[in-house]
Amino acid sequence: MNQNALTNTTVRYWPLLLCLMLFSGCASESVDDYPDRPITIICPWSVGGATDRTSRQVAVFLEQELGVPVNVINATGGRGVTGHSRGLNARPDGYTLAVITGELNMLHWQDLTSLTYQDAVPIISLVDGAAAVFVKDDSPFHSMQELQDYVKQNPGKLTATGTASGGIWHLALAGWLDFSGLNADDIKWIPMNGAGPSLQELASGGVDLVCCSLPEAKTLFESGQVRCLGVMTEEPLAEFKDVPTFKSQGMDWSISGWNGLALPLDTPQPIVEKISSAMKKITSGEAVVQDKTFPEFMQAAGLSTRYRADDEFAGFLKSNDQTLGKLLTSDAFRQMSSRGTGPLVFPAMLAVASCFILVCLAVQKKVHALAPDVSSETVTSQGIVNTILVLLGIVAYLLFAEKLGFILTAGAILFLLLWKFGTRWWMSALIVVCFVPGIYTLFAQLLRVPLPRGLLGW
Amino acid sequence: MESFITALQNLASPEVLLVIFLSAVYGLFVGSIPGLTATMAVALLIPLTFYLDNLTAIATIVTLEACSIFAGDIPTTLVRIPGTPSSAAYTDDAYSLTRQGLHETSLGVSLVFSVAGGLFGALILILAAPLLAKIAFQFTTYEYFWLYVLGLSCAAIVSTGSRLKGALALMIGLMFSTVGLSEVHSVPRFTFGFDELFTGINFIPAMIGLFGLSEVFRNCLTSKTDEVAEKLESAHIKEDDHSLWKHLKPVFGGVLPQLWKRKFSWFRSSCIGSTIGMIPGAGADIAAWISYAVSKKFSKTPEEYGKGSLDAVGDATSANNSALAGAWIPALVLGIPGDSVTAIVIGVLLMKNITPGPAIFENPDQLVLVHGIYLTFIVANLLLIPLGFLAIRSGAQLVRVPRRILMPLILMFCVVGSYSINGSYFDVWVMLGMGILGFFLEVFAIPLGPVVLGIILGSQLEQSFVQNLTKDDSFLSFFNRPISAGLGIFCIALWLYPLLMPLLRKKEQVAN
Repeated sequence: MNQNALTNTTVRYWPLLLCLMLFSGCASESVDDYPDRPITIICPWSVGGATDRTSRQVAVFLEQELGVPVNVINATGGRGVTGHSRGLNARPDGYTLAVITGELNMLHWQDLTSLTYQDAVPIISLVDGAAAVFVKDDSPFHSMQELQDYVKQNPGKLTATGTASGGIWHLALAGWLDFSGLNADDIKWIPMNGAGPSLQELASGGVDLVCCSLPEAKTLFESGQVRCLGVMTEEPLAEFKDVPTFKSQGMDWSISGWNGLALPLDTPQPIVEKISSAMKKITSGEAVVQDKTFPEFMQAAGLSTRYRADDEFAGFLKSNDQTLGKLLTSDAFRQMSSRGTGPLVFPAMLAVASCFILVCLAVQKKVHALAPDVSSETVTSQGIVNTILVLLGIVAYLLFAEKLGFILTAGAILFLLLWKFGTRWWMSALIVVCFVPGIYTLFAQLLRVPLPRGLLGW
Repeated sequence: MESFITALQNLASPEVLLVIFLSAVYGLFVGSIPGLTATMAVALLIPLTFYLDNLTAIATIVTLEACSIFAGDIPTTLVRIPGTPSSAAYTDDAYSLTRQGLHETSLGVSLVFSVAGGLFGALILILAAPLLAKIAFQFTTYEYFWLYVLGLSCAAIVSTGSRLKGALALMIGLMFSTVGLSEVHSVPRFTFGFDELFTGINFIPAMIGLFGLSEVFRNCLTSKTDEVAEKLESAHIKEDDHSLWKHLKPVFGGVLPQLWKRKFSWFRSSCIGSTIGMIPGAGADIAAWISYAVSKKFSKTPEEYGKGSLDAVGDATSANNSALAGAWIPALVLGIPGDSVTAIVIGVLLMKNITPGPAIFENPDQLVLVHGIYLTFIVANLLLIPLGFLAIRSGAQLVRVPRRILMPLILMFCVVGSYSINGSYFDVWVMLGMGILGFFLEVFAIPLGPVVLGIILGSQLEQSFVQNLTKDDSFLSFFNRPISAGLGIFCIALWLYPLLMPLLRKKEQVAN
């Protein structure tokens, strides 16, 4: 009787569920209702850095302006390839915003990606951090001129770092060397994972110079552990007015790291305009969160800003791309990137070590011994079938989740697995109905972790 | 002293205590879900800190971090999915204890030793932060290279079964770490056209696959799927007494004597954790592995390690929790992130117009904040005891669920957890591939822990190696600095010991 009642209940509610699904599906496609669900910002750099902090502050203000949750995902690695690809190749529905940085105009010149600024709909530029050169407090150098003179006399002696090989700060220093009539490799660049580790390396005496932006070195600079020889700006920075500019030292060379907000190409124009309008309001100081405006937050964080919106940002992207391309395709840089320990040296060492270990194991004749835990248990034909079902379940999820969405895909797969594993079908259905929406609520709503949204918008 | 009292008063307000309590619950909740990390939880919390005052914002993060690291032990023990990389060191021990019906005892040891380790780390932070930061300042790429080698060597040495198989597992992990575009090279390796592989292989889906999914496979293949649950069910019926002690006993009974009996090893592990934790970039992962290795070395029952040793669980959890406070030392004194969580904290401090650095200890207003952080570490760890107990009791219900129902649910969490890190389907493929690999590695009795550590530390090892060669072509430069020379000699001695020992024994036999 209970079983029949449950069946009747399910049948009775099915049409209602179907209507809800269809209605929800229609709603998710409407541009006029944008936005009606959480937005994600893809940040190509790791948590804690300048771009990440900028992204999260934008998220807080956008959330207030647009009325929906705004999450930040750090898609790090690949020197920016991963994050820029994720952001700009996302579905152009306005629910994925991309933070783009100077690396977007560098990576394709280095043949690391096919993405260019033309794959982005620019919204607004945010941070513009000029490069600066730092030395340790006990360093003999007190100006860029002294440094230049020393390098001329001692090429290849000094070491410098600040970011990965071929990164923006590397370009800044190498370009200055080129500007000074020196070779790009007269100062050895030690690639590192960003300004934080680089500054520690400098403070511990591991390198002679660090090239990065002033805000990144603010703590060590203000505590006197490092000294700044110069910054590549037109005028001294307001927050660091004692630091001389390169220009004031007779060196009219400058380069800066920047970031900004963009949308994937083909995003509908009304959505672009809505986000652009919100960002203009935020950057102009009209929007207030906790009695502070966005520009005030950025200044407190020590982040230099330069707001360029829409066409102005697009124009900047184009000229920046040309400038960086000119540098990266010059003889000095092409030659530079091929130096140093080759990329296959370390894997080769690992391969040799692995072969050595395998030979030792073969000598000991232990390679084919089975683990006790497995050999003591009986493998059954039903077990093999179950294992194959698990594999097929995962593959099915991978193939269908993007189209159908998390709830439908996970629900169907979970039901089939439970049923095939020997659970009664009604118990399987009950577990699916309870767990799948529960997990969706847990991840997508409470924890604000994005899950696949299919045609129904779930 | 006045600032200390002020910090105490600020922290004692009901509003702040409520926020700390909620952060603790949130941290336990997020930390116990595979795929979600402490860093992720802190990052998700950042928008909220905009609306909090300085002390409350930092207290929130400190509490969340302390609780979520312990929470990672819960899935490690119950369903063999490490919640954090540092849990990978003792996954086999913790899960073996569950299969023996001792999951609550194992988690009880995790909880008590985590709190003890966390309090020890907080004590070190309070007493000696500015002084110890100067030591952290001695570490360059040379010192880091040997530290990574030491951590990786410990993973191979402590492996269950053959050390050679441990070393082989390590090589497999290191091989995976070479995938993608590293910071020290200009060309990507082994990406086969996938943009997602530029990042390299993310260790979290790899870890979920190696441990969690391979366990699902193993359970599916064997016919005794409900044996453990049935045993526990019958055991549970016998103890149907509802008194409070009956609930406390499985978790805490025997643990306090354990803590007292092992007070010296706890102290040793906590020192290891604090020391390694304060070196920027090195963290709870290395601390847990080295502590595990040292614990096994000095143990009277080393054969239990890897097969269900409470000593291993206690020592490793002490180390990884004491490392957390250590990471705050370079963050507060130098403004250099000790780990990914403190990288976020530095950003929060700057947004609040607070610049980390030595001055923070001299400015009275900011010193209140520093003392607030100290006190929060203590409050958070103490709060962990009751909340952790409740989490353990809740989680323990999982063991009673029949395997035929539990396995599909675990599978769903494996998939969702892998996806949620970066919102990437590629990570799910990685999880699937690693699950298959993990299953076959276990068939050949090759341990899985070293594979995980190899993936995590491999890229850093290679980077420091290439960085050092770029600075100076000579291998002698690896020994030029005092700390790197000491670490280097120690590592080489560690490698040669197992090779030379048999020779020495042969000589003794000949002499006899």
